[in-house]
Amino acid sequence: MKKNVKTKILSVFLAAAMLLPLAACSQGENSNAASKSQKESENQGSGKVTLTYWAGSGTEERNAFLKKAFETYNKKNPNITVEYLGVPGSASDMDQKLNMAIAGDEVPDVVQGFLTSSYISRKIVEPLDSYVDQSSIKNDIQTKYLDVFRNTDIKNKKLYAIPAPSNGTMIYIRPDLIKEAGLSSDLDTWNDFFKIADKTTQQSKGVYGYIIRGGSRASADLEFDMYSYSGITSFFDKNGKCTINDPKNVEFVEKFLGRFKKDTSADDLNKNWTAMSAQFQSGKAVMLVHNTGSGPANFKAFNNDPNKVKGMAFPKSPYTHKVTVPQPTLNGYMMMSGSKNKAEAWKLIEYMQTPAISGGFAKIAGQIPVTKSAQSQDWIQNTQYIKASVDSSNDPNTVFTNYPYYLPNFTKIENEEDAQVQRVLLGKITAKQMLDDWAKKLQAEYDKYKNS
Amino acid sequence: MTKSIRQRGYHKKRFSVRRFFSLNVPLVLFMIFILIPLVWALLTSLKSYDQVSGENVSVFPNPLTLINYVNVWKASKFQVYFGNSLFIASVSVIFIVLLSICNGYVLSRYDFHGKKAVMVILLCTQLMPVVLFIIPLFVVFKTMGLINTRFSVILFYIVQNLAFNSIMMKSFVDGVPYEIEEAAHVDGCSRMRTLVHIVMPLLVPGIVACLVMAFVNCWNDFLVAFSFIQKQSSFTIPIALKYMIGEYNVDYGQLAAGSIIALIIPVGLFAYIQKYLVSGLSNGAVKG
Repeated sequence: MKKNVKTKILSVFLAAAMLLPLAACSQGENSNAASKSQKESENQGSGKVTLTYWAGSGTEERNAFLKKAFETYNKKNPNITVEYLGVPGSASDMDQKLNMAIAGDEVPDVVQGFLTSSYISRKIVEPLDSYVDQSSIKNDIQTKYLDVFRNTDIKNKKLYAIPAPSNGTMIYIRPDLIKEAGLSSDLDTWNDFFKIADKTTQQSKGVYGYIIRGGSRASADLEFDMYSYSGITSFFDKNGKCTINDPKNVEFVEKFLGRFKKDTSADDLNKNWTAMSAQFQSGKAVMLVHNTGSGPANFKAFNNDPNKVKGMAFPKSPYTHKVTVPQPTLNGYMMMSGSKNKAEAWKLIEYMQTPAISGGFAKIAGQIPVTKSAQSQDWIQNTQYIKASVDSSNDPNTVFTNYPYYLPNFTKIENEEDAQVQRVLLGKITAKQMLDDWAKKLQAEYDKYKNS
Repeated sequence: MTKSIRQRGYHKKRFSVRRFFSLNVPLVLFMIFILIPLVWALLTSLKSYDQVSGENVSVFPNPLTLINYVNVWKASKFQVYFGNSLFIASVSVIFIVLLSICNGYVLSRYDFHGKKAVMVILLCTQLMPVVLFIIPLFVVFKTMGLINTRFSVILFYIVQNLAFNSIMMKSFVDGVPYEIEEAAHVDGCSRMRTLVHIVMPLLVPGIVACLVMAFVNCWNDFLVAFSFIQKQSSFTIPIALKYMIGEYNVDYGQLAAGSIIALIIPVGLFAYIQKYLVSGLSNGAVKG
């Protein structure tokens, strides 16, 4: 009997002993990392504001830059403390982290990431029109960039994010290899692209004209290129018919994917952007269709030798004779609707758009700042591929292809088409069959959206 | 008359062509298959940037450089993440092992109402994916004030690993003859003293197996740490490695160096305890 009592007392004591460190240590850690809601209630009435800022695609380099930027901001604004978190990984990693924060009511005040229609439909982002109207930002960003973001809310055209530095699509080329083939490296139209690819491929040396992205995001890259070739600027024409299987797009896909294993290597079937960049950087491809994000690494691989590497804007469409580029990515500064300090959050967004911060961040990220004041900085004018991308985007003759991100399943359908691209490469289906099927899915999605 | 083992030559090392092709060659091929990625990562970590990406790509580092390790440890603050991973994994493993021993002992030695149900529930918890619990637990931990602390992660790891390790420990305890405990009881040992002084020394292989499996699970996890921690200084190694993969740029040398550093503790652990691990896992397999 006595033994049983002793055992029970011992069990209770052991259980309590295990819980104690938990309470003590969580207390200790909480003094440094209290939850957002705890801090908000502590700061109430004291006039001090704590803002949380999350930035996606975090790297140590970006983290170091932004931390320094916020240290400066905190010093200039003693009543505001910005707590920064760089979220590593892709947009889907940021999405996952944000969804968790929303579920736990721990949303940050400002997020630098990709705006999606889901955020708008779930009302987790704050419309910023009233803030922009009263801000100097309005005159510093070209209307066409703001319109791209407004189109995400196709019904009401409200602005839910301010454009942040983003990547511009471009083609990296090897001028030396093109010159060896007796051609000019000035790509006027997409037909010049294919001419260069045909003439510069040397399969025996393992050097190929260009690289096909056959792996993850294959369909997204194909969309960029085919709409640039066809010159079509909308996924749905004025009658609401999907344009993705337009004969001009089919023609491009037949040409582009049809050169698989001729002007491109066989392992393109599974290539993602890391493998594509690696192939170009190791001198095994003459042209790489990518964006300014890989520019620093591409130029570093050739010691910034302008004879060996050059960045070019997309060539003109052989049909419209205009440069048609995909709209800028929806990478922007979003104010969360759950933020309790909206005025301060907006002030922080304005700070992020100042030339020093916007331009500085763009420089380390290989991106293009959207504000005119930042675009005029020396480093942009002195960085060949960035200047080429900026000049092309700002050229009044350059048109954007508008993407229907307002369709909730647009990206999902896009991702499903990756496997179809591979089937075309393997010859299991034709380019027309793939695009017809793709058009059918998008049309169904569009009709469903219109009728809702 | 049957020959003795010695006469049959089982202990004699004699070259056999059949044995060579059926055992040695597949093992060597398998070892090469396993080692190639590790060797590649090691060689990449010792190369400068232009030897990894660029026209001067080479298989072997020439010259050999440790700059990637220096940059990773200092500039990328890997030391902070390494410390966090070590702390979280170590604390989690201590509790997992202790609680698994207790659970395993009870499941093996005691009969109580609902014992079978408990075993089934423990098994069923292994069928559910971790991602199912993340959001509800986030809300619960937030209420407890544990979000953004390393202890939320430790608590999750303990619970996540406890079921499987308890079942595994039960198998090991089953392998200890009860007569030994009875003899100890006869000599006046209490249940607790018997467990600590008699049973646990015999459970060393099982404890080591449990420790290693729990440690590797805690060390390698990304999702839980990424979900419950919102402060960079509390992140762990898997998240730190993710920081090295930029949006459109990867420094492969630093990433490889970070991966090698991340391997140091698990590899060292395995090397030190491998003899216990092999006997522990095989004993568990036979008895379980």
